[in-house]
Amino acid sequence: MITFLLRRAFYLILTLFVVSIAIFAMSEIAPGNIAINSLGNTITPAQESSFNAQNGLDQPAVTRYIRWMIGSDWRAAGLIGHPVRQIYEPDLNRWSWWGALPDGTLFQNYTDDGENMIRVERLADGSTRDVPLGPEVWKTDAEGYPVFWGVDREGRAAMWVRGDDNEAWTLGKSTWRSSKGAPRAYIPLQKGLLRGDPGVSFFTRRPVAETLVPRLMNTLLLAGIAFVVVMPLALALGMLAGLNEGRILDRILSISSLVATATPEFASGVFLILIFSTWLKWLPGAVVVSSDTAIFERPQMLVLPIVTLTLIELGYVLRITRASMVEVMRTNYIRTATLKGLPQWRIVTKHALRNALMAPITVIILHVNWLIGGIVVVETLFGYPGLGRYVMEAALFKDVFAIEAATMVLVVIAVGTQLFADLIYTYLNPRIRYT
Amino acid sequence: MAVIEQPATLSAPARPSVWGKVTAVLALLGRSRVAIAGLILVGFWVVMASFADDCIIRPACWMGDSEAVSTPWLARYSPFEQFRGRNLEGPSADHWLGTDRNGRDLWARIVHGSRIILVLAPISVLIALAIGGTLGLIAGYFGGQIDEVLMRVLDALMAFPQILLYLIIIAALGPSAVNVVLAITIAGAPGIARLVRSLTLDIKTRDYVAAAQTRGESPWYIMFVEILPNARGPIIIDAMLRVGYAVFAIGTLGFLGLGLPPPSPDWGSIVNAGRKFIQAGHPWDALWASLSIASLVVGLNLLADGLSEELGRYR
Repeated sequence: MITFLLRRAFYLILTLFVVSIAIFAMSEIAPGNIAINSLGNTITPAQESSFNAQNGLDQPAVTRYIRWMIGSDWRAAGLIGHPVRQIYEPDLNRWSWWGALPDGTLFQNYTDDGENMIRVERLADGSTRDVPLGPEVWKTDAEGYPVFWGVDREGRAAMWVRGDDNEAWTLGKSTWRSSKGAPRAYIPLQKGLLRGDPGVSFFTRRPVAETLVPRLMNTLLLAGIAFVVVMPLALALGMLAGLNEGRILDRILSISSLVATATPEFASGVFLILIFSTWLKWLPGAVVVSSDTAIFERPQMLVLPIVTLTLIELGYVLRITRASMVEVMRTNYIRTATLKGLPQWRIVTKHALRNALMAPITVIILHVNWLIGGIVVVETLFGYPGLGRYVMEAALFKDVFAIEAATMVLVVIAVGTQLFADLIYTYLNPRIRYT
Repeated sequence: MAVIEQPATLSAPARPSVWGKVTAVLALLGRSRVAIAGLILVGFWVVMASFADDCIIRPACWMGDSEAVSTPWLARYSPFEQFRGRNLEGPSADHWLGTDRNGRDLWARIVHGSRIILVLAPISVLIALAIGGTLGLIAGYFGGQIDEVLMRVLDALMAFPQILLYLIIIAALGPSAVNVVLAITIAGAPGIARLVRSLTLDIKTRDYVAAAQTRGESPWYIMFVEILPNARGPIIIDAMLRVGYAVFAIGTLGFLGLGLPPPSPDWGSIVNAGRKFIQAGHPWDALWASLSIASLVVGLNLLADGLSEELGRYR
């Protein structure tokens, strides 16, 4: 049993590793220019290369993958000679990176002329003080250039070269700004996905994790309610259909579940909106979230999204349950029970139920992949602020880090539930060998 | 698959003709009411797509460059023609299903949309079949390390919820017909590979494969001539279901704004554009396009369901 678990866990990690490479490769290495996607196609080549350097996009794919996974702060700290720290600045409402001196003072660096480095020290009250540094800070690197590694004013690890008049382009509020004395090389600071920091969105300029977590919670709420509604309903109806195999009730349930499952979520969602919102005016056709608690204040907003999700899931589980029930009812031990003269309800509850439920329960859990697809569409259709809509919008605006992070979270959920389904199945079915 | 017995003649080898196979499948379908319903729904859209305009008799038009000069048949209008001052109208004698916000005829757009979806869905399934089938044959036939590595990678791809694969691929490459096909191919191929691999593992042990190996045939000959044709039954049923999924996926991508770029009359895109007008009292765009895609996917599923049920009974 232990070997089985370890083996499963090993494959899980291996799968996630391959998945992460696939996600990374498809979103970052694939043709398609992140700079142009983020900044528009009117940028000049100089601006594009500045953007790529500042965001570390000019570095080799392996370096970028490592930064995405386990961060770059440790590498930068080694080059700078001081640890780097991420702090929250309440007055600016943002997270930023600073170097930390041995006495705990936080600092960033800049230079105006490529000659005199200036250290900006952050005081306890959040204000800053400029401290000029002497020429001794320039260190000769392996190629013989005098260089200085520090943290620049944008919170990136950066390498300045003495006497350099490198020009950098940065996008200000709305205009491009060019500045002299810019660093030669950058390492964007990031803690990495495994340490809970999947990067800063190119689109909103906010840390991805900040938006992702509340969105995930909203989605879990929606999916959780849908799950609780679907499970008992589908199992009960499926068994009803299975017990009445071939009769009119079975035909009606089977055909309507096929129709419900085959209809795309956006189509059934539109029908539901038209019927219950536009025509009958019973329920709101969109989820409008004005505050964190709005969902709980007007729970009727959730009805249509949940019904839409239920429709698509219900049919699938119902069909599996029905097939499983039909199969069990044909077995010899059920026939024996019937011949013994046991009443029908007793045969069903005592002998058939447990065996008939085994397949559907695992299938339901494995069906999480489909549920995620449904969630993306339903959240988009009803404007529900969940992870599905987040990943959809990220894809629409080509927000690379947001897509990567959100996909990884969803894949971890999907793969994790698959492992869970395996465990449940082995628990329910003692005949399975742990191999 | 149904095997047709034909009297062996001296001149021709005793093989069922293509026509014989078609009639056999149709006869099989005829026995299932579910399959007939599916066939009617799918057939309706196939007819609409084929005869929307006179494209079918003018090969130059198939390339898609002479859209403007084609004469509408069943569609009645061009899907791009804008009728001045007739935006957002309900159904009328002039415009059977109404008009959209640009004054374009909805019936024409829906009918032309069926053409897009009925071309792209089978193409993407065919490409996925070619790629997935080859990978599955290789993994199943050679086994060992190749099998292990291939299956690990494909398992990882299958661990993805498909919608995420679509989103990542379209986000990286941009929305276009080619990329939609590509996304569906990449998402579909691993599943096909898995199926073909398991079939190959089974068929590999048969005597005729051993005979071919003894004859000294190359592995590729054995894979594609001995194994593949004998695995076709389950593959065909699976492919039919996959066409349904592909239609579903193309519609979903269009709805999410990641499908074919405007002004193409893609059903999903029509729903996406039309849902803004639902609250404004013009539900027609969203309604008709939703109904169309629902009827097509349901039709394809009924067809596959009825067919596999009948085949199951036949065995």
